Amino acid sequence: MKKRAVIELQFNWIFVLIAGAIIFVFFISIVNKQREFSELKTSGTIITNLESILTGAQISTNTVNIVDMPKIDVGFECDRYFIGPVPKQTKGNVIFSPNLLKGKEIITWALDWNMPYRVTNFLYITDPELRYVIVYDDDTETIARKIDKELPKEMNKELIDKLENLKNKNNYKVKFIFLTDASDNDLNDIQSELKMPDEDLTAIELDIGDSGIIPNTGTIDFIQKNGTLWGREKIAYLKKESLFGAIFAADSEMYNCVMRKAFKKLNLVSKIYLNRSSTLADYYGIDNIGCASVHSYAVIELKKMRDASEEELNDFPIGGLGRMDAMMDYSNNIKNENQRAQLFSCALIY
Amino acid sequence: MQKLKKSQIQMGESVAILFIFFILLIFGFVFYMRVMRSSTEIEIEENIQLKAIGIAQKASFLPELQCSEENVRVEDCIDLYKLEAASKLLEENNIYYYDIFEFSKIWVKEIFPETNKTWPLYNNKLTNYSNKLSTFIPVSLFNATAKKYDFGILAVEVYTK
Repeated sequence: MKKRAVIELQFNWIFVLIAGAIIFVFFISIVNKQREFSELKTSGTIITNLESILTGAQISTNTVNIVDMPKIDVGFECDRYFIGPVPKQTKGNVIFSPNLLKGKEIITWALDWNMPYRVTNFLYITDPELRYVIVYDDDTETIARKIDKELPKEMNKELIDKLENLKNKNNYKVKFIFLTDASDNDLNDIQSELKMPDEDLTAIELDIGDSGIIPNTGTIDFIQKNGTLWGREKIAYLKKESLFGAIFAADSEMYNCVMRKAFKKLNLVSKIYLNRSSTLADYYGIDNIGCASVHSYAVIELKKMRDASEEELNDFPIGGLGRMDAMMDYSNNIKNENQRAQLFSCALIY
Repeated sequence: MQKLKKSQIQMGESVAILFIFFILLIFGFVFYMRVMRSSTEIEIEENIQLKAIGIAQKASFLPELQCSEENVRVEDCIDLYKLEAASKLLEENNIYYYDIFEFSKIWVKEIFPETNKTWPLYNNKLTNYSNKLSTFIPVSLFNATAKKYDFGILAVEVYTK
């Protein structure tokens, strides 16, 4: 073979290689860009749909919705949620949720929070693949069954009285609701049985007595493993809706943050009712002492509610059970005044 | 002029083929992008409408405005005493309500009796908006002391860029 022909043949191959590589890189970059764009678009679409679902769930109360989702991770924080790289603010919405939802379905449950007037809707979000275990003993069986009955039946929940009966079902997160004493040994046994990482196994211990009814106020111990020890944080709740919030919330930090949002809304709504009752007390005046006194008493209680919620929206949970009990008293007093308003045929407080 | 060699002609052919190939590819890509752009524009428009409806829904279900009887909500009804208080409260807490109503203007207007009374509730207009979607919700206006209902509209204008 001649020397020139050899060079020509080699040059041809080099040319084919370079041109081929350019075409190859071009297509790969287009595919990559399209993939990124499509992921972003899918996340955006899901976020928009989820926002509509959340708005809908928030305005219709006492409803449970099952939302079909593509197999995608949804991350929740107090103020925002994420789908892939796309974040969305939860805004003023009061949403209790685990910090990560992985399932193909999302369960949303909305309940009214009344103090005694409607303040806002609490929205609870979970995933059927997330397991909730209610642990009870003989003294707390009635209340455990009551809590189980109140929670949506679509949830993956179970009641157990003996921890030895616990089986590993390969759930990616498990939350224990103890109506008994949860010792560190019990928790260690559970962890070794379920073989779960620290962050995926959380628990709350409810100190709500054994009266058979869910008290309006009480305390909740949030339990999470911290290194080798089980850390506990005692936080008070106000009404059963916030107790359910503790069951759904990822941890105490999220629970506190969401409750502060709820107290902010309580503060604003209380101001509205305070202004309203104040105007109505002036309107009735001496011409209608009965109705004027109803609204004047309501003004006193509404002021207390406004001030207490003002403190809670910044300080929660520092006020503790004492503050929650006090707020429950204000709520009951307002309720009584509303009944008096009805009795005297006055304009109602709420 | 020097005669082109066989290999140079072959090379020229290959370059020409590649050139045409890339031109066709660019045409295809431009066409695809145009189709994508129009479908994205439709989606954006739908999202804006969805957002406007969402804001209108939130406004009409606001506990700060809604009538209630023994805490039972009355649909499509605004309590006049609450409305007076809310008008001031929403203005004072503009930042909080921005999270709910974003860039929008909300007001209530009495239609019957024809007093033309208007209660501004929220005003956070975008100065250089490109889209404005208005929703008018017919509502009854409840006077708790007179125990009578008037008729009005809850107007929600949502602005987007």
